Amino acid sequence: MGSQTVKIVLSVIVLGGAVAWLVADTLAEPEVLTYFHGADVVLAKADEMRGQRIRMGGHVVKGSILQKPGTLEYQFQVKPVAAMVKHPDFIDSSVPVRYEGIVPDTFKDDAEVIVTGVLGSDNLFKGSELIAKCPSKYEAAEKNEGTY
Amino acid sequence: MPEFGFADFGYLAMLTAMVVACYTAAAAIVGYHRRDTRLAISAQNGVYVVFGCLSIASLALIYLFVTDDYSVKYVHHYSDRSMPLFYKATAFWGGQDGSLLFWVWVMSVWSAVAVYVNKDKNRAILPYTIVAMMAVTLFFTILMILNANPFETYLGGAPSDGRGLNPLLQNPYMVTHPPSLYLGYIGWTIPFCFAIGALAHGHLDYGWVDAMRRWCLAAWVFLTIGLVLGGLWAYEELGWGGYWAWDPVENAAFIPWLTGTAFIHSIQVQERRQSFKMWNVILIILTFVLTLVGTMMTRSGIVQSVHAFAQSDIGNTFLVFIAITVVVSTGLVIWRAKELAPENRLESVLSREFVFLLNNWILVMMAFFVLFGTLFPSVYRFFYGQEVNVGASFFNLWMRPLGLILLFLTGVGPLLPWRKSTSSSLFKQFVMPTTMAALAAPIMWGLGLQEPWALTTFCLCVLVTTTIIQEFWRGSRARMRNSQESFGEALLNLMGRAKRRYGGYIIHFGLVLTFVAFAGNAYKIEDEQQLQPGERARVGNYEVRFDRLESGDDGQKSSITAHVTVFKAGTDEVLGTLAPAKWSYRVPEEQVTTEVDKRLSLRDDLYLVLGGYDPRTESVALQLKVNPLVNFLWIGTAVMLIGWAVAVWPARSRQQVRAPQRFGWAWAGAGSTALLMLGVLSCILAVIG
Repeated sequence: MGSQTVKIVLSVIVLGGAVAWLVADTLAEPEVLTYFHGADVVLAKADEMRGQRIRMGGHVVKGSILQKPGTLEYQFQVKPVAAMVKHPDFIDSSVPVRYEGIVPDTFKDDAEVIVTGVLGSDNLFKGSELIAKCPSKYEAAEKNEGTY
Repeated sequence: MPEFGFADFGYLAMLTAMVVACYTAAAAIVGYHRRDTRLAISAQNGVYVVFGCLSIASLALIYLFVTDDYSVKYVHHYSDRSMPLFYKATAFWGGQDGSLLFWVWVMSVWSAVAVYVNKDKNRAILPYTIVAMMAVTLFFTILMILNANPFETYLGGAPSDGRGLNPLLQNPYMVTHPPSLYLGYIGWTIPFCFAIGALAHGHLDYGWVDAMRRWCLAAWVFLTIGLVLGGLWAYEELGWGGYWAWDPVENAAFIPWLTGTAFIHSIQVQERRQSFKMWNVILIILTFVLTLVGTMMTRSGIVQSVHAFAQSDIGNTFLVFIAITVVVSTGLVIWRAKELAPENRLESVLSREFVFLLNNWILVMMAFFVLFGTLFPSVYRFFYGQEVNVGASFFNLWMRPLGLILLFLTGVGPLLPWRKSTSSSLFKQFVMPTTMAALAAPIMWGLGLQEPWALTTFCLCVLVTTTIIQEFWRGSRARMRNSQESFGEALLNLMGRAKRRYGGYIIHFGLVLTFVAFAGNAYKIEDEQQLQPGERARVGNYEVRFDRLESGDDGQKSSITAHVTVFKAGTDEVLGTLAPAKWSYRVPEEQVTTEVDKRLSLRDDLYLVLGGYDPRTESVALQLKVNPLVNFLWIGTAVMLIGWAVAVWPARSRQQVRAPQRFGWAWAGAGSTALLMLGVLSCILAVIG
């Protein structure tokens, strides 16, 4: 009985250790984990953020959306969401974002957006994914998105 | 003072169900220990009464929806006057509170049927089974009463109209997908309750498993249909071009599917070899706990998802119940460790039971990784206060190799005999499949299928398909020789004699087809183009020409449609026209939905999304996707359903059994027919778009 318990415990430790190591290894792969930061954090810690793939959250600055005619290239400014600010010094600043692709229907002035991408050395955020929520419908959308 | 309305009536029915559930559990315990038959029967009747009460509560809620009673908060939130009657009634499970009621109602239906069918056959283990059922029922009713009462009314006057149901949810998939998932989820609860009953009673041979085998198959098929319907919905309605995104809510249903599938395989080892007893009990407990975790994840807002529910406070109540379940079940398993010892040990690694063991490990590992990836962001946020996202690449990294091993085992398992095999029989069994796979590899390479994952998948698909054909061929050939039957007769009789076995093979073939679809993902093509009227764009083997924009309005919504002509690439051969659109609903809130249009074929789907339009220049932004082999997923599912129906089809030779069992057969037959029709219908719907 004793030796069997030892065997079981040992194999659990070995197997568990192997699986834990594999999982940790996978999590370290690029593009597996993407951290989320508010636009204020991106502004405050720009040096740290540069070159890292992150999800940036904020509001679209009113009137900042520009589209290159005849293309799907967009440029706009993202400012921090007042309610989630961690670095109050940056509440009035914004991050310029460049995005190429189809924008969601809810992408408009003041919309809450999450842009996935990389902050470049020129402090321009190059987005590759864009999610947007319309500010006025925020609550209703949340409540209505019922079932699965 | 508001008068006593239907809402109060429903609430009262819910309260009554709670009180009766308490009594039923108590009667079952006391009746068991005092050996009091009257109390035991009273407990059985209690289960039926709980079912009655919850049915009344559910009907009351549906009545409130149908009669537009907006004084009830839940009705106000999830319906409005303009909705068709059908969607009003099904808005019942449109939100959290109602879906909990739906959950517990289905639980009561399943419990009542299970008790009715097993009341004579498995009388000994029934008392604590009933206790477990009532405990689950009690938990959900208490949860509703404390945190999520669907009958809650507004204190002031009733609003004149409801807020309506999200238009994305107003389609047939959303009507069938949640109930199917719930039937599956809750289906796993019944075997769990029987396991608890068997553990408490100490009667742990094959009896309880045999009683539950059919239930497990029913739960499995509902969960499968639910998962696939969810995928169809995503593919049709969400417009991102795929059917599976490793979204937490999808994962929540997929995880118990994995452990449940493992259970269906491992109980066969207990049946044949009287081993794996402990493992089977653990597996069904795990499956039940995972359905609870899944329900908690999707209903409490602890994970972020496209299904984003409002944050609610049911999470803690759930955690307490999950903790109690784990502690009690683990305690019971440890207490019964002696009775759960295997009667036979593994004799050889070249045996079917060993392959089943591997299959179980792989499935449980898959479940573990999906669970880990799903919960990681919540755990990380809890400890570090930092939001983090686990990308689809995490899941794909793990699921691809594990899935391929699983596919391989699907082929190997049926070729190995129970206990151990001889080398000559091994050669006889494996020579054909491996040759076919080895021949297929260079041919597919030559045809240009050089993506390593896809190539491996296709080769394994060939291997597994060959083993299945070989099994059918050898079986029917033996019959043709022995009983002078034609091939068709022999095939039918063969399947009729061993429905479970050959039904299982057909299910495996369905799985092979779904893997073909998964492998197709390696050849996806995606492009985004800004097009002026008359301009053309090429994607894969297709070329599309944007012809014109059209706007319309049907009162409920306004629409913008892009008319597109599809050509064979590089030619002027017209393949058809497509009309992707955007619809702007006015009710309940202004909301835009993207209406995908697709050109379907077995080879690939051309999938067009209208991304945006510029009314001034009349230009459009089109998303062009080519999704190879997607339709094999729906076809594979249909094949699985057919295989399932073969496996559970009632045996002709066993018709002279007692009444309760005949009821069980009738029920199984009716249920499977209805299901099969539903499944085939969905697949047809999907194919004709």
